[in-house]
Amino acid sequence: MSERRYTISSLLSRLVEIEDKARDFYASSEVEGNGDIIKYFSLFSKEHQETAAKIEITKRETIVEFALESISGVDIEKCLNEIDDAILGKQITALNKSIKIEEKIFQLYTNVAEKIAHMSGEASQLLLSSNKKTKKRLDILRQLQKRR
Amino acid sequence: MAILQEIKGDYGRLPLYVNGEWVESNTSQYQKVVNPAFNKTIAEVPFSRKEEVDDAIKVADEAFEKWRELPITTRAGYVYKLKQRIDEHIEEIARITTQNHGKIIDEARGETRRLTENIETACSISYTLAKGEHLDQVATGIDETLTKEPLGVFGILGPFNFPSLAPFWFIPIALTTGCTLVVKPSEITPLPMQWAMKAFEEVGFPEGVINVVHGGKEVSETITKNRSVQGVCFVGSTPVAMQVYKLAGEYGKRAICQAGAKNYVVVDEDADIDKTIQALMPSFFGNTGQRCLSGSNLVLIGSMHEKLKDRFTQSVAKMRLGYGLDESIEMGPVVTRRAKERITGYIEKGVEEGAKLILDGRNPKIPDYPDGYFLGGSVFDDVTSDMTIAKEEIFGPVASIIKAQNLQEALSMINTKTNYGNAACLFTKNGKNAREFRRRANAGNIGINIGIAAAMAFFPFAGRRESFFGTLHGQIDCVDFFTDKKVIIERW
Repeated sequence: MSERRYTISSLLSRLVEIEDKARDFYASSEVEGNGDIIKYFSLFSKEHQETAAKIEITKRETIVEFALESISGVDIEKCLNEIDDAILGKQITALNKSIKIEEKIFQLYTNVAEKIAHMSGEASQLLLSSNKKTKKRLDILRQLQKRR
Repeated sequence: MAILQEIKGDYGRLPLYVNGEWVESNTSQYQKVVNPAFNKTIAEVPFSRKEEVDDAIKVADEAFEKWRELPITTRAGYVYKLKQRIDEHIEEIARITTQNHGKIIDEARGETRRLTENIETACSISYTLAKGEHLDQVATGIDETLTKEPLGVFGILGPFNFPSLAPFWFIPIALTTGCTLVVKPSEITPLPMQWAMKAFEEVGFPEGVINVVHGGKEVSETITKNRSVQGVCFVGSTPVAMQVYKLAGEYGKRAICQAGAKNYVVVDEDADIDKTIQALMPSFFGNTGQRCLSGSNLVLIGSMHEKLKDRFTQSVAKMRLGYGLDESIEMGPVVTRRAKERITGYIEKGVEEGAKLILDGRNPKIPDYPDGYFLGGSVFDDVTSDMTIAKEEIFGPVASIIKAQNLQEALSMINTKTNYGNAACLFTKNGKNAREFRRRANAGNIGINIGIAAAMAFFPFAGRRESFFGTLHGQIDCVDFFTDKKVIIERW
């Protein structure tokens, strides 16, 4: 487990970076195949953009000041690197990359939501509800993968 | 991590806000307002002349007669709109707080959230707590009614350490109950409140309902002595709180004076060490130790001393210091050079009196901010409860570790070794000890497995002994503070 410490604002800012990366990935990926994939990639890009905006607002407005403990036991840098690796991977299709990215995000947000619940219940809830969307995206992406 | 953009680099000479307008003070006395991370002037605050303060009070007094006549739904409506407008400026106020005070952005954002909670609370209670009582037929054909009436003009004297929040412990409730205000923010950190006034302006409160003057002790005295002022709300140090309270008494005014502190944090032998250390960090070093709810004396019971001391100290040593607009920073500078000197003086005193300085934060190396008023976290071990550093309010990032044999000894220290009674906290897994602690600790705010016992807006901000002077506290108690009861006995 990483010993890296985050303030809640720095942690949430890193999550915004992750959302931005995912948004850019879906927006810029050249996907071959049927129109469904193109349609979903466009939709998912928008969803990540919306989540980034929500995290940013939540960060600014919902921090509880009497429990500003530093957060450890999460390694966002590692997650960011893994997402970068997935995006840059050469022997892998855009569809498979997207599944890896969403899996990483799901895993990270589950962990972070628990860690920050007492510092910003709203941010914690936001990550959990974002994970519901991630789960739906994963279901769709896996279905698309099966169809190929 | 990138540094967040400042709202402005220079705020210039601050005007006063009187009768719904920004007006330049005609004083010749200005004081520099400084960004403590850089020792850089970012504004100049006027020390209002007596005539200006009296004028603001006169305006507020005239506005009171009209304001109180508005239906409570209308007054609450203004305050509700205020909440919406404040929300639009919330990030600006947070960043300005960091820029002016030095606290990290998380702390500033937390402060502004508290500010809005106070507005929400004022709106939510205005139709319930502010309403009166009626008893039918107290005697044959006779009814008795109690109404709560707003009293008039009140003065709000803000502290430097929570420059936007603390005035809002009082402002929203005063306004919803029908009172009018003259606010004097701290002359050290006037910018957040100044910026928050934009929201009042945008809402379009009637002229004179809220006014802002600037200055120091003389302005506070002028407000307190003025015949039209019904009472004052003060937040600050104990010596000044005592002066304000005394003056208010002399002039027959109501007063809420929230004062200084020397808070004990006790760690029981069975406490969860990881969770406790996590909570101790913001308790002792949040706001760079400059808050009246900060932990100051860390009492470790029995074997907990050996189990926790080194790990806590290592954690303190790892804190990242710097400009609070960098979101990764864990502790900002102290507010003024004078504060830094005072805190350093206490550390020297601790060494002189025989405490063991196991982490010396006096000379932190922060290359990017060579001129800032930075201090690292300092930790003393082998402190006894009779030492100066254990008794006096340091108001800085210093933790004094004291050993105790058991909870009874710790409680005895809390209740007899300090004159303050703001907060006391216990970390434990033992329910019986927790109960004993919350019942017997002679402090107004108690934390159980919480390092900062900060009451939410819908509870009073408690405090007792020399941490508080008055009978009603800040936040929700203010409904009774700003109103007076009238009893009507009727026969028709």
